[in-house]
Amino acid sequence: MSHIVSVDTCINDLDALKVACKALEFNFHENQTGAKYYGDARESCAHAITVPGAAFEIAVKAAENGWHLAYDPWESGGLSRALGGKKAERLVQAYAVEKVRKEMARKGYRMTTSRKGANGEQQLVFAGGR
Amino acid sequence: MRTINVTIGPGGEIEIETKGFKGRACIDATKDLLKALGKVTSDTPTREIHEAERQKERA
Repeated sequence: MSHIVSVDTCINDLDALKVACKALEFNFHENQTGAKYYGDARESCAHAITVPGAAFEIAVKAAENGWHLAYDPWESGGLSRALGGKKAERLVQAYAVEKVRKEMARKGYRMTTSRKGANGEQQLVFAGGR
Repeated sequence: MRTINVTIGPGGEIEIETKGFKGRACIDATKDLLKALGKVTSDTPTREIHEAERQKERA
């Protein structure tokens, strides 16, 4: 062991976000400029994500360093349950998994292990590299 | 063997641990990955790095 780093994920790769949506069986709608909220309200956005079984939609909004996910977590809208909370936890985790896999492959590493831990964390091990 | 262990928490918080690298090579190995992922909240070189640097200074 020689180095330990902690990072907070920023969504800055739309392709990785699309792969994450597919992994969770969510649907990414490119250039859908409104996401359904409570009643007839729609949040303006650059893209939107729909979740099977959820009445509300996730707005993908342009942010300073990438993309921001916005949604109404009201329980009846169905998103907070599907996303694991009010911060799109499941989707952000799936995005981070894809982003790490993609960046490590680019550097010549191969993934030797991928498993889910007891607390819901995803553990990945990479070997090789250039 | 050089390995990089990545743990991604349920909210996207990421912990990266490098193993088998010599000296600061582990920092170079993860530099691009960190840049691509987001905001570094803590960065802790372990004893091995300091020892390697001390040996370098002595040489």
